Amino acid sequence: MAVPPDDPDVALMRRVKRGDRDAFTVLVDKYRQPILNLLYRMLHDATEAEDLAQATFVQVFRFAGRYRENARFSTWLFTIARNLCLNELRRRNRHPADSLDASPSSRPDSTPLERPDPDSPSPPGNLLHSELEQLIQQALDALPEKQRMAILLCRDEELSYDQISEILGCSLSATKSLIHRGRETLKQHLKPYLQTGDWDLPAPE
Amino acid sequence: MNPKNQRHPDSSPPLRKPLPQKEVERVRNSLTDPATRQAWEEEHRLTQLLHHLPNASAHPRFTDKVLAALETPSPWQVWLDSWLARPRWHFAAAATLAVLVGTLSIRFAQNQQQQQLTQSVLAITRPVQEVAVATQLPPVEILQDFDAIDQMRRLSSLADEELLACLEAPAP
Repeated sequence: MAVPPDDPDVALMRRVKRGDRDAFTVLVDKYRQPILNLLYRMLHDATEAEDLAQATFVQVFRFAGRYRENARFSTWLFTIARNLCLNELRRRNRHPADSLDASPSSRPDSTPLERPDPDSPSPPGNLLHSELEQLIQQALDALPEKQRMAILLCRDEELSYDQISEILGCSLSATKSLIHRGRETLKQHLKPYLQTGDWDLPAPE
Repeated sequence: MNPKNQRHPDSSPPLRKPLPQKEVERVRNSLTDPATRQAWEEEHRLTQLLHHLPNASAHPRFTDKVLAALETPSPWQVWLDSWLARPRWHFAAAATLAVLVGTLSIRFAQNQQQQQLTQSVLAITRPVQEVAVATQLPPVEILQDFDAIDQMRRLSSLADEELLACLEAPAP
């Protein structure tokens, strides 16, 4: 995929290749949230997501020499994150007892997901009610890994379908098929909310 | 990328690219059908639900922790450093062993080549040797009684009846 010659990320990566940590810090600050979001929604463990997000950026710095400037940096970055995420999921499948111990509530240093404070006025429609968020997360967890990742990458709106297909390592048509099937499954799970459009539910008293 | 935790407040998520006018018209026309309209609205709502999922919480010193992690050597670097930290005689022993193995390997390869060369030379020379043996002529003196020996060979296949009769005759 063609990269514009004046792409700021490419310029920053050129500096990172020379060991410039200031340029690296700019990239970390820019992409940490999207990477964290992807990893959290895939792993459903805030602490593990943060560890893997840090590992992703460490790999970016250590293997900066492997970055090809004719590709988008975000594609390369998300590919690294995806590989680390899949390794973790495979490790969990091999050692399911470890994954049970790693539940967010059991780890003392776990970083809790942000919850809207019901006492403070929050802009309407910005954040979902926690119950609905849990339902969406459950629906996402029920998807096969590839469909889940395709949906989460597509959600960001910053990645094109070409980039998503490159990150997933499959063809463009296969990527669109994954997204379509994933969305169909999500719609089945969330039908009541989708039909009414009523997700600004008041918090239970 | 929006650096703030709030994502696209009070707005629908932006489209990846604007639809062509023809496509917009086609969609508008299809929305007059109630079933199509409902399906479209469900798709739109799902997109909004996914888009408005809250962000994962990032540690306030996330970037500092990443930079600190860069100071920690990778596992292979740790292994390399521990290997390099070994006593010098380890290197001498390893170098000597490498030279020995290399020399033996070269000698073995040369030996194999020599054997193959020998085999190929033998394969060529054996027929030549056989031909050379075959072409040696016997001395002329052996051939002087050739006719007599040849006659005897022919005659030996026939029974000598006179001799048999003499042998069978009773002794006086």
